[in-house]
Amino acid sequence: MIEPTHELEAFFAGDCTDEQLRVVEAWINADESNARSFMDQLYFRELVGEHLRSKADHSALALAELARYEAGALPLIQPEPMQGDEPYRVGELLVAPGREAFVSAAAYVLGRAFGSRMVWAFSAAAAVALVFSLGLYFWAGSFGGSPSGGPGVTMTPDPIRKPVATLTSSHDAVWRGDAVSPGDALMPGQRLTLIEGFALITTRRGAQAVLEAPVSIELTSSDNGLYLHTGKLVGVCEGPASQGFVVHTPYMRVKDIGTRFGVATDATGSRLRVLEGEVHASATEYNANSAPIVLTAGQSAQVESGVDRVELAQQLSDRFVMDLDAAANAPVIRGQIRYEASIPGDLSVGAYEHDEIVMFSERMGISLDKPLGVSITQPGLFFGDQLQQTVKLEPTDVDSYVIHLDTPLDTGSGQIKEATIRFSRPVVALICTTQDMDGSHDLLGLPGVRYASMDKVEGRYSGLDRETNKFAESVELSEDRQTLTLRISTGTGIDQIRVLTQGRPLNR
Amino acid sequence: MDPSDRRALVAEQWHKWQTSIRAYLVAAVSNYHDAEDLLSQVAVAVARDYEKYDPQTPFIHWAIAIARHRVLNYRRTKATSRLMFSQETLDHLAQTLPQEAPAESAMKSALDLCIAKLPDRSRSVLRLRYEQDLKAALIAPELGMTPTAVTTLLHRVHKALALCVRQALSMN
Repeated sequence: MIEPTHELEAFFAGDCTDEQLRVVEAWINADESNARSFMDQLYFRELVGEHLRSKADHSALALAELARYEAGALPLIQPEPMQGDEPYRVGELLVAPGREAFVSAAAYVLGRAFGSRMVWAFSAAAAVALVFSLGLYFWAGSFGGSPSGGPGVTMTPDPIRKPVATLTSSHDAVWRGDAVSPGDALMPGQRLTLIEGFALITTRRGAQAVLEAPVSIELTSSDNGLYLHTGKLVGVCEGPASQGFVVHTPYMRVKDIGTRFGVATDATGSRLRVLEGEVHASATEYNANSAPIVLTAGQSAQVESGVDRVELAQQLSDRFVMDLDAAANAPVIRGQIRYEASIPGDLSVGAYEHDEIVMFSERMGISLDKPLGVSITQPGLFFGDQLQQTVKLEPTDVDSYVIHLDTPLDTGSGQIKEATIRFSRPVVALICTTQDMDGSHDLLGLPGVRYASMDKVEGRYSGLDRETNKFAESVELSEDRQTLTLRISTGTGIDQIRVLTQGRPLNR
Repeated sequence: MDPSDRRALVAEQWHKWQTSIRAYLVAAVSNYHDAEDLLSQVAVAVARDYEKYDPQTPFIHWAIAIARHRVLNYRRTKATSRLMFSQETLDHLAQTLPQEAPAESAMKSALDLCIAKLPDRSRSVLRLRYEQDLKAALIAPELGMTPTAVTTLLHRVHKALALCVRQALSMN
């Protein structure tokens, strides 16, 4: 890609349209040498400018500025009033031309910056040089503003803002402030606060963020990233153009190399779990050792408030809704059961106890590329002691749910929990035995989640396949394959089974 | 390291690197005026937190990390319709910064000689651009040129100056 000379000069002059900036950016990113050339040219112009300004006679400049003002060409620059105790707002100190004022300002800045003793350690010449180095060009017009041009002068129009993302869909969403609706374009700088429900945002490059309330985000100028102020989201990159999706939080920067990660942030820090693929994570707080670390599926990391580095974490308590469908298309449940759209990180014995059966949405849109050992593939009524044979499920696309019953010890044994689940899509298989569950985690399980059967001692009877089925535990799949009826008993152990429905296309 | 020695080191390093840092900020916010404000903020942060600087690591990395933080804050809080480079592009540009501080004083000495060699109109365009901070559209009537011609002239003048400075430095 040849050097875009005109666009580069427009950028260096602070006179760049959106389109010109995009051309420059594309050129920069086209080749490593272009990026170096850009910075070299920018540095050189800064050097030239600083050198020339330091040599300028500022009295003459002030007179020239006044002359242009009197001719109606430019508004006279008004210094900003100092606000509170901000040492860097020195403009109003330098209203008088001449180097004496600069020395005074240098002393002020240095005194605030380095402590009063340090001021006198610098020579006056060094102080002046440092002030000029801080670029205090008080007779300069603002390049970002729009000074009124004189007669006959054509000014460059302000850049036109372009959307950087779209609100693709939402479920039971309640927004703070101005409501947004599916299909709305989202602009740089726009802040969205979701106080209830779920929403899905798609960036201009196709990356997606599943938001779960309460959450507050802000769109940046990037067409493939956003800022997470507080709350949590799941980032999804499933196409080449969307890779490189970046989420910033007050503590962490996460770049998705592909395909899915969850990040949560609050006053204590930010926490990251890689659900699929790979991400690069770094601490946002300035640090010489802030090189990103690479995390793969199943790994978790965190940056705690006050700590300026990313640390690997064993287990995070944060749970992430993987897909908006999991929340928006929840199965219809009846009986002693509850549904949760996100799965916890630890489902081993005793880690997630509840008085009722719990069904979790595990993963959506899994493409099985080889046969999988399962327990049931046909409608019918099945008791625990009948579930001894593994059958093969041929390659297909599935959505996966986990049914879990782990009651507190004081609940006692033998209490039957009954539930009915109506799925929106047909059930293609049930995985009900300990062996079949254990064999399916690699393909169907969420990386990083600890399932009961992984514990070969405590979880050795975590399916419905008891040696004696004295409690008559059973599962029944209806003829239309969409209704599942469960009878599961409480006990000292745990019960986990996996339900596979026909895979749905993910929200796009 | 003694705190006063560390402070002096940081001040010295700041003086060597501040042009590079300002260049990064200009790239980040596409606005010289705001870049100047940010540079001041970075200078204060550097001065305030000089104890956090590890002299074993390159100063520019530490300072750019501070600058990056300020830029992120700026982008969050400043209401602007102006398009800016993405954070990914900025990070890419930051990685191209040199490891060794440029020899600025030698370059400025060479600049004096090189600017003196320029034709009158080339010197005038530089003066109007930098001393009076005019855009091409306002420089054009001063020189009796079109804005496009001014842009082209600026590009050529900078290229010529850069070549002249490189040659002057290589001869020393």
